[in-house]
Amino acid sequence: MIQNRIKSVVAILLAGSFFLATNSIAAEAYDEDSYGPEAPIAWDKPTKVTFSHKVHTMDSGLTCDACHDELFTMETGAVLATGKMTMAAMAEGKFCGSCHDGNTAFASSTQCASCHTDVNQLVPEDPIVWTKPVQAVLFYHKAHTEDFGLECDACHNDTFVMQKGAAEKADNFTMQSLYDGKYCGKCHDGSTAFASDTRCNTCHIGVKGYNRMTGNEDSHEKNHKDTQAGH
Amino acid sequence: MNIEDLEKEKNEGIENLPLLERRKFLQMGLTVTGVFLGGSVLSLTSVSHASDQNTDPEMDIPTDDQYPYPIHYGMVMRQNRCIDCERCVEACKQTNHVPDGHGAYRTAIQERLTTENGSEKREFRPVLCNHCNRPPCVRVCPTKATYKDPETGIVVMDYKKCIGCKTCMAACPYNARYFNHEKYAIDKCNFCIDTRLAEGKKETACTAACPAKVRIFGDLKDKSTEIYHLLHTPDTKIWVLRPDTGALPNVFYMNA
Amino acid sequence: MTNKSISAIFAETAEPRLATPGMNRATIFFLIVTVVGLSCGVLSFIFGHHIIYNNTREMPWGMLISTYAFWAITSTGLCIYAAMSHVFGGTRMGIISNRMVWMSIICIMGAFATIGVEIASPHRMLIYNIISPNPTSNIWWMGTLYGMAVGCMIIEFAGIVTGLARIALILGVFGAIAEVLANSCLGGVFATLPARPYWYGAQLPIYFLTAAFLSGAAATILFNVLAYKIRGEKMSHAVHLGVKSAGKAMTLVLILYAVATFWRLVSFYVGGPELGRTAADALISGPLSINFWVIEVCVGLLIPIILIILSRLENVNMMAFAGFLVLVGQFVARYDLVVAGQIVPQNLGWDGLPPFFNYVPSIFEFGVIAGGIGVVAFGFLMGERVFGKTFTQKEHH
Repeated sequence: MIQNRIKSVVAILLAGSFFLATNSIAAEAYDEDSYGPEAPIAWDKPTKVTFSHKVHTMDSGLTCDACHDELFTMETGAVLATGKMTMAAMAEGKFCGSCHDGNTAFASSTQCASCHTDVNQLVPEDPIVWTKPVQAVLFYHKAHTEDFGLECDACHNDTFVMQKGAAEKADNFTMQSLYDGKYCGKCHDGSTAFASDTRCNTCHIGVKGYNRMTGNEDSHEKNHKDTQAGH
Repeated sequence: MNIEDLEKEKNEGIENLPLLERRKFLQMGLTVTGVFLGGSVLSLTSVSHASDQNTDPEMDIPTDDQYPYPIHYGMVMRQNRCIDCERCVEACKQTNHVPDGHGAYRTAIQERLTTENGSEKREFRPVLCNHCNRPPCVRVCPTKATYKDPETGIVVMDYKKCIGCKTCMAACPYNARYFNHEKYAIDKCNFCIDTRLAEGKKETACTAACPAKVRIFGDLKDKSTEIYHLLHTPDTKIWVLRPDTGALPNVFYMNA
Repeated sequence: MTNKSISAIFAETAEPRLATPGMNRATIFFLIVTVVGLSCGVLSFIFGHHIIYNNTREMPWGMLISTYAFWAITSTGLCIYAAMSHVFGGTRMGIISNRMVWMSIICIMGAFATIGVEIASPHRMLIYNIISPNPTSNIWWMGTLYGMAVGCMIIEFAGIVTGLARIALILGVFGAIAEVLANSCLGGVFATLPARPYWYGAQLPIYFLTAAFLSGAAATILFNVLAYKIRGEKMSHAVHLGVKSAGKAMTLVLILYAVATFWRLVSFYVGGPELGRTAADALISGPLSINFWVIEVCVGLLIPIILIILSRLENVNMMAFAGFLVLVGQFVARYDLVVAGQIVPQNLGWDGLPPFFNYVPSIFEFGVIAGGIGVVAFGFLMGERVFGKTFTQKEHH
């Protein structure tokens, strides 16, 4: 695993140095000693992520010791290998989160695509199911990211907080809010995407659909089964 | 040909009728057949029937006294708005003390899943007693335990007279009747005549509970009601369930 | 003649030759079957009809209704043949007509016993059938007419027993008319329901009457042959001729009934509502297909026709067996008719419903059926024991 990761990083670095050799002459000279490796660092696992030293050092004026070695040991793949570098840790102010807290730099819970190069890897496979205020509404992330090419920040966190059940807790998670341009209605307004007051059953799966999903038969169907069994 | 196929058919040209003729025709649809109103009438009834209008159009204009009941209650289902949240089912159960199990329910949502262009298509259809103008259940009851309320046209039950022969259940084209094992009599939707209308409320429990305004309940005769307006909007496709049985139901379906 | 005491009447009508231990055992056996069987039905009043029987919202009628129809139809058939014999005295069946009147009464009792435990609140029926009648209801007319018919037939039979021939004749005609009308209304119960395309249509009442002629002839043959079997003696020539006439009638009606069945089913496949076609599929290739092809068609129609031909109307045992098979076929035919009318979901295409519901009668329903058979068998044996001479008196004239 780690070896593979190192190999791929090395490969990318090599490719990056060719890039450097051929294209960087015209621009301001990039000094790897003071700015770090010019080619972006890229990980494949657990998701595709890139990190550009250039953006942080040459462009933003950070020095090496802003991050090294306090936040990140200066060794390829070492931090990742600990398994501690998670989004949750960043939210607690660790790793990238020490700056990406929404003050110093954009919060780690926003602008996912700035670092995650393949947003489709991030979105949940399973649909989001809302059961309030009505049973039940389905939302497929993939349909929106893959089929329509939306980035996370198209919806998060302005329209929807990226937290399970957050929308359901709000009193105004209603169709009226959608018609007013809130929540799904931000796009589902009839011009960007189909209007919220049309094609109801594209999203609404009903009690029957929900029970089928969760494996509970609803009472009516149960009655049918009962009647078929004879009681 | 079923209603879905008919819906796909091109309208046979009601727009070509003069407005006055169309209005006469629409009104005729309500009282004479009790079934079809609105713009889809031509595509839903035979053309020869439609052309009958021209022979003696005056005959087809109903007057108020042609409605069988002083208040003629009916319901419109705006079917495509239904999301199967089943608040109506729950509200009905609570309001009308519908017992659990043994197939007891007064209203239900039916679901149909089909595949269209490779993707799943969902349809929900609310159903309840259609309070027919020619109710098969009322005709077959040996003891008049079920009858049309003379004031409202609502099909009601007189439980104490019900012998439990279940002929009304067999006769109903809509599977709207069930054996109420608590009352030990057949039971059914009665548009909340005893539980809500009697208290002066203007809507049934299911109508009031519906968040999507699928169900529009009201007096078909009263020109000020939403149901009247919906049923008399030209070029609206309106259909009823199982028109072939000739029961002349008072629950109308549309997509709106 | 009118001043005879009751005991004197019974002394004249009773058949002392049947006062045998074997007969007693058989009579008691069927009495027990009756009591135990109908007790199954009585349970429904204790635990609830919805618990005891396998009827549902979607299929409100089951085997009890079909069995009621079977006995009622058989009763009509017996009554019609008996009345025809009485009115047109010359027919050969006249000699066995008294027994047919008795068995017609017994069969309707079997029908009443079956439906009596099927209806949820028969006590309400007794009151509101009278004080709140609905003249548009086939069920009301059917119940009323069968009630009148059984009243007429009981008086008719009393007239036969006491020798009041004129009363017997008049009441017999009224009884038969009431039976035919009641049978017609029974057909109408099903035939006038547009919601059930498999039942709906003008053919069904005629079909029911045809079935009555068929079941009536079959029962006539069977019960007469049995009457001589239990006496252990050979049928007289005159009675044999009467049974032969019933055999001819049965053969004729078998053909009519087969033709009616054929066209009835064909009609569903040439057009009309999908519900009717799917219901017909239930018989042709669906869950009722074994019932239909094996029992209705083979056991109930083809084999009896073959047996009748083989018997040359001489071998009464073979004819009686044919009659028995016809009755079995008719019993299952009524079941299939009642079930097929409801087996297809009315909202097929929604809620992922299968094309056919699954109805299997409960053990209690089978119990009630046994009870109904018990009523008829017990009534038959008691009739032979108590009125045996009345049934055979004409032979000795």
